[in-house]
Amino acid sequence: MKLTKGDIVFDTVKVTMLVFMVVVTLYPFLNVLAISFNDPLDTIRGG
Amino acid sequence: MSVPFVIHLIIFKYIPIAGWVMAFQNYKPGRAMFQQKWVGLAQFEALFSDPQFYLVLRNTLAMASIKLVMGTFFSILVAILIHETHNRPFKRSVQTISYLPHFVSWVVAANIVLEFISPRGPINGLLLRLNIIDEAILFMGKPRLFWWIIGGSHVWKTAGFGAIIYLAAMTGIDPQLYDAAQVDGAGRLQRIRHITLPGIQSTVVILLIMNIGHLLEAGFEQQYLLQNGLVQDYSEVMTIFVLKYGLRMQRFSFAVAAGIFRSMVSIALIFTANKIADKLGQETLL
Repeated sequence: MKLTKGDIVFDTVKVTMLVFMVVVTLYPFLNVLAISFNDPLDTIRGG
Repeated sequence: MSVPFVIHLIIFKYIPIAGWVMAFQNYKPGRAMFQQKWVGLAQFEALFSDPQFYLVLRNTLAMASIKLVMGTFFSILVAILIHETHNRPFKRSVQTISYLPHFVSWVVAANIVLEFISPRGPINGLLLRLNIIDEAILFMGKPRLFWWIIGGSHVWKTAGFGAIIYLAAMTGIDPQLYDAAQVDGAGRLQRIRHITLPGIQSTVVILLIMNIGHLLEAGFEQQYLLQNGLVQDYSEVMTIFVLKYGLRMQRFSFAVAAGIFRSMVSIALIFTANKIADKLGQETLL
């Protein structure tokens, strides 16, 4: 099966959206995990 | 086979309906059910003349509609994207990760959300770095934003898990249809538009009808845990209203009256939605 130009565009958009979804889902968890191991003062300063 | 479920339904859903008599009394704990003082429709009058009630009703309907529309849309979107992916390891990992927030209780999830959108959280950090805003925004202090925070956190928590049922419906579509469409020169988007979407249409309609019945239950934990004093006028929903102005103030009869109102409207909504689906020639629930 030969990939057409449309297929490549579609796949790129699709993978981008899925990766975006994974990042958005996981980031809050990682953020909280990072804060838990962080120095409270650093967190207040925004680091 | 279905007997245990019917018994469960009778014990936990039908027998408690007898408690509705409380709504026509001025219930005081400690007395027998029929030694209470009967007050007719006074509890309902108190409910409908409470200005707070209309505010709460507005919030409930607004948040439930936002959650229903956004939840359904993003679940279907996730299901389509996963369905169109053929790389198995990638597909599997994406799916597993998308379920993850579903298994975290709202108590934990609410704090993760609050931390994420706090003035020192990553959202503000990103907006500051891109120079879109000059100073950090207190998102939880903006009453107008509260409904959308509820909608967004609902999507984050449930879209992946909600996609399962649509994915199941998609696996039921005959793969020959896709091959035939491809031979006829249909592109990927056209195949989604003309095969996948019509294939899951009946599932979507049934789920919509069922969810419309829950339109007056916009949730409890989510709003209760995310709210604060600044956004109170936009965050209070029926369930919180019943807790605050009914149970906590010992107005049990008032709480039951609010519950009856909710059940009645839900039944009416379900029948209306079902009727509309029937008129449009769709699959119906009843």
